[in-house]
Amino acid sequence: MISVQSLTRVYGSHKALDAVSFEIQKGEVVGFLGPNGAGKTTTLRILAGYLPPSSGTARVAGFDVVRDSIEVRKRIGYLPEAVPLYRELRVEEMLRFHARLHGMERERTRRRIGEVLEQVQLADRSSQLVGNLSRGLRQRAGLAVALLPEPEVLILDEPTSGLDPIQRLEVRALLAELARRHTVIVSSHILPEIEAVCPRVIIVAKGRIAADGTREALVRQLGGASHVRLEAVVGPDVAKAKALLASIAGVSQVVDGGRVGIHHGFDLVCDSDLREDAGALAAARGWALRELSWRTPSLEQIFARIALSDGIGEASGGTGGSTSGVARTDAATSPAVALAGARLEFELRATPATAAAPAAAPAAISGAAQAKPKVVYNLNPFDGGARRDLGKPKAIDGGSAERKEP
Amino acid sequence: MLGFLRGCSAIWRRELAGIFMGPLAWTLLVIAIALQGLLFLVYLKTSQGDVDLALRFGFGESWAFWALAALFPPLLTMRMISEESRLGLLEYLLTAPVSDAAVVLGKFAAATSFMALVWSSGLLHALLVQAAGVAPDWGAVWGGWIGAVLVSGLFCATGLLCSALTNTPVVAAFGAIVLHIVIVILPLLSSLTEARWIQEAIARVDVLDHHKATFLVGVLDSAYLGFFVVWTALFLYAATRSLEARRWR
Amino acid sequence: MALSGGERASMSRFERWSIAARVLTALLVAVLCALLATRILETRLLRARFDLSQDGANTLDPLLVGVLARLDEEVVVDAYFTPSDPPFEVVGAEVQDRTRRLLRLMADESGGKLRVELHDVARRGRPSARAEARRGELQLAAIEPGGLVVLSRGKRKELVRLRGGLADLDPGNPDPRLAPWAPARIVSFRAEESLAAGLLSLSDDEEPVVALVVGQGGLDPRRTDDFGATLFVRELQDDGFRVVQVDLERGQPLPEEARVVALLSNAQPLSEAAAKVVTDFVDAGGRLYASVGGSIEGVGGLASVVARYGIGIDPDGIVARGVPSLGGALEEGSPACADLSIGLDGMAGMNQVTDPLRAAGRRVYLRASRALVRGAPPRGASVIELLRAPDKSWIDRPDSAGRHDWRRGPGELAGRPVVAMQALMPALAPVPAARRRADERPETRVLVVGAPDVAANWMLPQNRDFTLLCFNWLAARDTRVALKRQDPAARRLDLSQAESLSGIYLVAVWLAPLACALLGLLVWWRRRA
Repeated sequence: MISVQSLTRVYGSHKALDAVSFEIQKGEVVGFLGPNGAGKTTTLRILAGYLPPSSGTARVAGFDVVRDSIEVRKRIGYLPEAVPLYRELRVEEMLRFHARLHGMERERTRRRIGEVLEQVQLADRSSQLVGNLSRGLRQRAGLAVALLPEPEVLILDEPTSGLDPIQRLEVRALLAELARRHTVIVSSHILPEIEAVCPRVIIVAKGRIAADGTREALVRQLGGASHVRLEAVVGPDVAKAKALLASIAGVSQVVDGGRVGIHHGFDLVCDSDLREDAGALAAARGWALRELSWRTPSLEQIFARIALSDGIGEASGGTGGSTSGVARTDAATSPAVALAGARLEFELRATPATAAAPAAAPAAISGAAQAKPKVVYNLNPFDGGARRDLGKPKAIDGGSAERKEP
Repeated sequence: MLGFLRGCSAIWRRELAGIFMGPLAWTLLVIAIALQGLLFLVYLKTSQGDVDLALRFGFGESWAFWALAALFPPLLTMRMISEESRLGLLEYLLTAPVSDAAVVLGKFAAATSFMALVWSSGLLHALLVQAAGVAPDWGAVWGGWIGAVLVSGLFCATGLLCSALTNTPVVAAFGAIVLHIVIVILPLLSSLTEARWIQEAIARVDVLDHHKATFLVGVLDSAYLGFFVVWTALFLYAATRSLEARRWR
Repeated sequence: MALSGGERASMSRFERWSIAARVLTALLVAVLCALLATRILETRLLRARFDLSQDGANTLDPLLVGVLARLDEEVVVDAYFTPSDPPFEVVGAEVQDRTRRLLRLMADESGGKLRVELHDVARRGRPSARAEARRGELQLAAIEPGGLVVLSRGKRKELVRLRGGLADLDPGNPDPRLAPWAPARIVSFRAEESLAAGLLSLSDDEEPVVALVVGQGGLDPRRTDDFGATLFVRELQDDGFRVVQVDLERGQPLPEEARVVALLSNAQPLSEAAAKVVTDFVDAGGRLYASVGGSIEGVGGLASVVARYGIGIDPDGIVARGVPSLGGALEEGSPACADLSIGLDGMAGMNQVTDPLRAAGRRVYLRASRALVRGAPPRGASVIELLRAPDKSWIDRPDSAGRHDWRRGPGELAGRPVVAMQALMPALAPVPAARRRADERPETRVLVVGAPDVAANWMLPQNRDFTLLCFNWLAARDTRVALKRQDPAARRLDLSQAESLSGIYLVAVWLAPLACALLGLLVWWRRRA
């Protein structure tokens, strides 16, 4: 249904998308996950026919988004993040306008308006002015507009942004229902939303695809090892304690987690849950045990890792299984970044399970690493309205606007 | 082709409805109708009851007509593209199955339709005069109205272009008003200079003269109709390309 | 990707400039295309023009269109419009306005052959440098109030004045003490005819010469009062004739190239010698125009001169007709009975002189006209009764004291006496070389009008077309004058009637805006919730 090949989008000399490729089959529900500025909105805009790509191709429902743009637009329902609706119109009028733009006949329009308002539960507010709706209701109205022409593909850009938790749950339920009948792409920077609705996730960062596949596949391939976390008072000889722990059967590696007060933390990398063994050892040695827990990798961790670092390992485990699973590393362009005070859960090293090249950017765990300001490009050229020089990055959180080149 | 017209007319309807849902349009309409009505009576008195002359004043011989023609379209069109872009509505229109040209044409048609309504006050005056017993020259009245609509169309197209070029409505309105003032006072500049080639060049694009000498007196001349159509199309084309360029920005 | 910041910025700057350059060139190309397209649309082939106005006021007369199409050289029209003197300020401005529009139409129609320059002194208060320069070139001494239009082609020029040329104006009565006040008005707007005639005579390099015989007490071309002939001379000149005054008694010879001799209502008869000069001239393919004045008897009298060509003049009667009263009956007994207004039914048919008059519905006005009778024409001559008095006319004879009673008496014949006659015949004598024209058979033409004042200053405005048509026929030129339908008066609303104006005021200034405002409020209220 959707096929994207080497899609690139360049603003000035800045690449918002860098050779992105993926495929989505009919009926799939895919989540686009990535931090702000990763290129999610750009990709969706290209698919919707709003932006033209600088190079590469994208096909939706069998039509090229550049050459047959109008055909593509007839078959998609697009809901941008800003939920653009004419505020002076009533909900019903907005729906009717949308129907007219799509060339729907009057009978079908009437029927569809009723159905779609039922679907988003706005039937009682059909004659209210759009401008008078709350944000959540307006979101639902936008969804109704997108659904009206019974599109083959639904493209939703941050459908839950700005909503309170209850509204988010409602939208999630709605999406889950829609997922049954349409091909859906949802983009978000909030992982739980994606996790709840989309079986397949594409993670983008810095304009490239970092991961593409079902949740389980990703966790399996990129998640890093599961480990037992042990915090106890081990006495002065830390190295001995470490060797002792390493001697437990099944433990492949022991990572020194550093000292916290009088306790010392260890991460025991192992395949299975060896808490009992570790606990028995601690009891035998008389260590005062503070914590003993079994940590498995989650998508959240993968996402955090990808989002915070520039390391990009691409392993595609998509259900279609068509794209090549070439992992690229770009050690040259990924400066060492560490957030002062943050602690990564585990070392960033490729797991033995994948044959992929090791992800770059070693984590500096101790606080001795220099703190560099985090600089993220805001790639939305329509932000601020005025023509901006995209050669100069605009910092999002803190830090200076200058970026030191490697 | 049919799809183009369908999209165009859908956008036309919505824009026109949108125009009338805001207070600006009604304010302008009331001001224009009252002003034109008042001035019509003044013209009647000064022309000693010559109804054709008075109607001609209302349709193009007076400064008030040109002031309204130059100032109203920018106020109508200033928000059509620039503010919609800010609100994200342009993204909505440009991802709907309508071409950019249909979007521009639909908005243009809505603005021009509103101006046609403004000028219909002249038709009302002609009707009143007829009811008072003196039949005006209806050929000249219709010609004057058609010419006024064509002039307004040209100014709406320039307003749309200015709106497409910037993201701030005020800047768009300002730019369009400046452009219109230049167009209107161009023939006056022609009398300041002695160079013949400048005068002839100005005479070719003299909008005032092309309206007053032909449409206003009841003559539909294809050459002057073509003049308005060609230049309006030029500005609309520029506006469409400018809209396209936004996707690349 | 490892670029320094400065390099990155300059690349995008170059890109920006190249995009800007491309946009600019595209813009320029588009503007040029637009100019080209408008130019192409102006060519005659692609042009369609619909005149919606009620009286076709914006369509040029076909004759004028034909004249403009036949222009081979560029003709420059310099229009000098100055403020008119009282009481013509308003009507003068209106005439100028209409002339401006007419010139515009003509320029459009001529496809570039006509170049119109408006020197608008009335609007600007003082003439521009260009106006002064042109005035010097055209050798215009002064511009009379109201202004004038100068048509020039090469070295030749034709002048069309405002009063009498572009329009006939009636001053009305500005002084309310003597009679009820009447505003000045336009009697007829004739700019189209005058300009057409001017263009025609510009194109025609020939100027027929009219020899006006003076010194016999007839209409004096030097007198500007009601009984002078200054207007007559001017009209002929504006129509392309050259008028020469000849005093035959003093021995002035007729010019060699003279085409027409005019005897305007002579009071005294010509001397025998002078009469011979005239008849010799006419016999040899010349043309004669005569209006019957005081004395016609005697050897050199008009009667004997024209009797030679078959036209007889009734010596002592004056054609009279009852004056139509309010009830429709004809009232006799007043000197007004001598005023004749000759319309369609009194004009000869299929005649070069009267056909245009009949087509335009014009009349000829004669006062105190003698009756003309058919005489004994020479061989090969045809005598045509040009104008007849209306029915129920008679020839009123004076009594022994010479007074007329203006009643139809027993001896006075009723009927439709002839008041104007034409005679044409092959030349009775060989045509001298100076007057010979290659494309013409030598022909003698004579036209006699029975009334003395037909061409006098006070009557010429009404009879202008008729007079010019006579002379054009005599000079055997194409019909010069393009006669249009009467131009209608402007449609005026009677402002003195308060109700009509207040009704308009109420609806236009209050009702309509209020209705709009209410509608707006309704829309706002409906969409509030």
